[in-house]
Amino acid sequence: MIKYTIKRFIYMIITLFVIVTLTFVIMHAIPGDPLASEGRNLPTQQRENLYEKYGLNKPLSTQYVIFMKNLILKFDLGESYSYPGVTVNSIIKEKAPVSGIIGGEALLFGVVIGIVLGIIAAFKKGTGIDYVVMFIAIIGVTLPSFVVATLLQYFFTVKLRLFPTTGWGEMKHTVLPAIALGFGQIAIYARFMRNSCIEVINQDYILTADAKGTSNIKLVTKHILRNAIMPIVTMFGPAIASVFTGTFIIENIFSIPGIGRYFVSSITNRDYPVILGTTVFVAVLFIISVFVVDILYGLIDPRVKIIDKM
Amino acid sequence: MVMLAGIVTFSVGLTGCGSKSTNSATTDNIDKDQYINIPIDKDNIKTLDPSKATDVASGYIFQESMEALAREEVKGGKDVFVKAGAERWSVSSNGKTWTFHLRKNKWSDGKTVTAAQYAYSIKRTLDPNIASSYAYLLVGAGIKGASDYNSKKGTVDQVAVKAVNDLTLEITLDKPCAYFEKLLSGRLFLPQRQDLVEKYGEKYGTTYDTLVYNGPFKITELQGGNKVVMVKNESYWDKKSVKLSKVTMPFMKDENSRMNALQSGEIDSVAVNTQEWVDKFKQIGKFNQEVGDQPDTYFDFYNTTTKYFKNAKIRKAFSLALDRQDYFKLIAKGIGKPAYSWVPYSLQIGNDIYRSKVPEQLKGSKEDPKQLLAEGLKEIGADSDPSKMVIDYLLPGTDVSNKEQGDYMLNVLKTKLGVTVKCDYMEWAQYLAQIDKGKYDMCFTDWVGDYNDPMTFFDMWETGAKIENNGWSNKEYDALIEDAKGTMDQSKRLEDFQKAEKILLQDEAIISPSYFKGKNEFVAKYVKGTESPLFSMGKELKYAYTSGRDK
Amino acid sequence: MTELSKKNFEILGCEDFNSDEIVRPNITYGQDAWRRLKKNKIATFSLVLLIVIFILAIVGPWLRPQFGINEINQKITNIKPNAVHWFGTDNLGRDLWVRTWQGARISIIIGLAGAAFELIVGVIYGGISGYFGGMVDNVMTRIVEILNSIPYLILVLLIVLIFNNKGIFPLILAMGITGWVGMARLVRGQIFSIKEQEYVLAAKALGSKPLKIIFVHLLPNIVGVMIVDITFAVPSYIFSEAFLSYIGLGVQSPNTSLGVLCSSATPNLIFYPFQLFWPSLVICLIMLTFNLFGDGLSDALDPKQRQ
Repeated sequence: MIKYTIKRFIYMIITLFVIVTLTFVIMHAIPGDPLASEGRNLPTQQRENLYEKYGLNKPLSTQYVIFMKNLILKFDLGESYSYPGVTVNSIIKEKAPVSGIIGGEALLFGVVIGIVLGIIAAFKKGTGIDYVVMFIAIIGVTLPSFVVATLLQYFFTVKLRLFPTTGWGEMKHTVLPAIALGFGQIAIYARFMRNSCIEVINQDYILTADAKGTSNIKLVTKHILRNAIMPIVTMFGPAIASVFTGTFIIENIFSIPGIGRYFVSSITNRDYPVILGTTVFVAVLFIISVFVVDILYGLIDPRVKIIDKM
Repeated sequence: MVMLAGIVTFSVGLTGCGSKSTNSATTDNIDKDQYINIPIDKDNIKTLDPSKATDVASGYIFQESMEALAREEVKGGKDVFVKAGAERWSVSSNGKTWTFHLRKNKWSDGKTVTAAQYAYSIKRTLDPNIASSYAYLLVGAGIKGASDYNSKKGTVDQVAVKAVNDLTLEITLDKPCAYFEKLLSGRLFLPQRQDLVEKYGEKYGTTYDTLVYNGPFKITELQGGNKVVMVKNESYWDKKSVKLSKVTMPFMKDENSRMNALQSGEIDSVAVNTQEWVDKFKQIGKFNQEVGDQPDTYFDFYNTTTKYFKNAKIRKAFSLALDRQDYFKLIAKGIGKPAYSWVPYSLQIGNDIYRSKVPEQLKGSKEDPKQLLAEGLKEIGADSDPSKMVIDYLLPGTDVSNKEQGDYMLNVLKTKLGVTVKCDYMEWAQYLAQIDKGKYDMCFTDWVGDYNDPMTFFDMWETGAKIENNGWSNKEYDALIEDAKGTMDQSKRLEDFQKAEKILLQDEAIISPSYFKGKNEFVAKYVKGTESPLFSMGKELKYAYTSGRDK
Repeated sequence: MTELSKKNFEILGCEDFNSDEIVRPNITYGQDAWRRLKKNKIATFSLVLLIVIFILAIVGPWLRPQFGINEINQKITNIKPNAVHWFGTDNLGRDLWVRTWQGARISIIIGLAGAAFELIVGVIYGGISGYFGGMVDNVMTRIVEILNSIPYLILVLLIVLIFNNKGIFPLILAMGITGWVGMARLVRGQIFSIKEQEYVLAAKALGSKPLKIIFVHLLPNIVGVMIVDITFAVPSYIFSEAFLSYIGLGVQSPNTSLGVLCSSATPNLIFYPFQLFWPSLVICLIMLTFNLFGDGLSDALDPKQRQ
């Protein structure tokens, strides 16, 4: 177990290293200049001053080395180009939790409702209820999130005045964005839950329990849930990381100061440090959460032997 | 000032501060709780550093939280330039030395506002290490020593901006500048605190608490992507005129969100961009509509170094092919005015509106674009078949409004002239880089005037100005502009500008103006006392208040 | 006890020894799957609907030939659906029927092309990785993990921007590059589970080359899983394109896609809901039919549910 952990840890570091390098290279391959709008009206000398200040006039390899040195030694992700004087670390510290909250709520929303729908559909497999339930779940996936968000905003803020249109600060600001985001995820979890429940339901031990007269609710909570939930757990890993970058549209519409939005605008503004910094951050999250999930998976499901996995 | 094409007028909401009794000129009851909510149609502002901030949103925030030497206001229905930070000023008889006598005012931390702080601010903007994008305005105005200092050829001590004493500021110019006075309400003439700049170093301007404020309000909260909150500044010299106790400016980039927010009462005013919303808000009946001009022209310009656009006739053909009325209804959605000339309606020369003296050049043009194109093609010896022409049209954004612009021009140029247009949509940073490299045939953008004088629309086309790189250089034009810079005689300047505009639009046709941006705002009826001077960055809130909000 | 004589017995022949045989008629995996699929009414209906949409996407614009894709006309903007403009017109006076089906064409092409890319690359990669196992698999899996760890959006945006937004190809490339990973992983997993089967051992013993084994023996047995993945991949590409269009990086004007139509219609939602309704409906139906059909297909192809 320890050996496995160490091995995975080393792989994680290597992976991270490769990701950062790759992103660095790709980023600089994009045409466009982060200081284009700053450097416009300036006489040549000053333009050069600006480039020097940000280290942009050095060859790529030197810039890369500087960045990696700062990253590894000081965990310093540099300073933003678009927002003079603001460090990438502070941006991430401020904005990431915001996206995390929305994404987390959305995930919860999607998972809980998805699981419930999936279980119902599995029990009533083949009947009308099965189709109705899955249909409801799928509707969420078929509508683009910006459509859902716009509709929600119109109905619940203008017509019904229940929630604020935009902003951030209190619980009520998180409701609509979370629903809009979570809507599309219901189907994924519902489908997986349904399939895995069907498999489990067909097992002998369930038949035995049922024959013994166990109530449906108890069947679900005691036997089915734990076994059927495995695929969903495996999905958690990637889901957690994507929470941070997938919120862009929602943040735009609801004026949420999250990192998704910052990230996309940093790409369009060619704000290299923010792009790199956010990539590193999300990649780290992703890798760690996959790792944790794998360990959990091994712990929960006795059929999976971690040692043999490699 | 260049703005992203398609950016909505920055609309400001007014929150009224209620002051007790004495100041209300009306008989309505002033609300007990005086606050206002006005949206900013952006994500965020870049910085609060006056020397580095170049966008409209930060300009608006400065307008309400700081005080420059002058302030734009509206009195008796007319735009007036009110003496604000300075009580009075005078200029020497040779027109070169300006002396400002400052008013007694305090910063929000209690310290006095001094002339040295204004001087420091100007010099800081000129500092080559700060690399401010606005330094060119100070250099262009001709402040002595500014150009040398800014291009590292001189020292800061050679810049002729001096604090004679705590309350007197002296600025010396190389030669008289006819529009110098017009610059005084802008961010260039805000005071800055050297002690704070030194205390916070790189962090200065990154958060609201690295600054102090000398304007009607002071900032108590600024969360990028969320909102800006200001409260009444008790240290302000004219605080008795300020009735609002709280101003909130939420960042709302999404247009639908803004429209929804006005309907739900979350904001008190909004700028509207389409006829449908105008009709809807009129129908709801709870708002007052404010319509006006803006000093903002949208236009196409041509790269005069490329094969086809080397030729003036071809450029003119493209310019005339545009049916400006049709375009105005479809793309500008009827808000503003179609542009048959370059200088917008709102600009004044001296005390007159420029446009009232100079008729629009392209109106009623009888030339046939198709024929012009044919002649032009012949002149450059190219194939006379227009369908062989493929033009690269560069657009500054990938959003819906830019796509509409691209689709429209593609259609027009194909049907009217028979040429093929390829639209290139780019993000702002990349777009600018392309222009600087000259990698385009034709380009769409807009230009916002920085100060209330036509010069702000003309000096950008001089040889060597690096605003829009179109490879155009014209001696006659340059001479006219230099003349207009050097004289104080407004009628002479008017003549110069008129001739210059003719060169730009008719003789050389280097630009094809599309429309003048207009303002169409809906303000809640309970909001009173707001002012919307033409060259302000947004609604002036200093005298605003609400009455009847919760009825 | 009566006497047993030869007369009392009749020789029935050896056919009875067939009683050990499987009772039902001998049908192949494919035939069985098809049979099960046909029985699934929802899936069949979805398939039919999908085919109808495909046909409309091809034929739709030709039904109203008098309207072009980019025919801007200021006089007929924002008209509600009527006899002349079946879906109404948009902000610039363009006919929406034509634009919707043209957009559907492009969206579907993107979906299919992306899925094809994913299929080819994913299968080859996963096949090799799964079959050879050991070090080869280790390295290849690491690479996959790395690719998977770069946030999808970053990669897509960066690639689209490198190619400067020109054309559909970079779009497909960008989305495909991040998409094939799922297919590769799936294929690899499946191969792991069947490569120890005896028929593979037999083939190896007979001296078949590895590539032949992969393509002739292993792949046909995982075709089921692949097909199911494809049916979910196509709509997800269409969806991703819609998302990119919202940011402004999807299909470029004057070409249009369902995503572009949706995002440009959203600001007008309050006033002209029909502009958003039609492209949304088409996307919705495409997604729905692919998903339902995919569900049915996966049930039909699941050997554990063989009847």
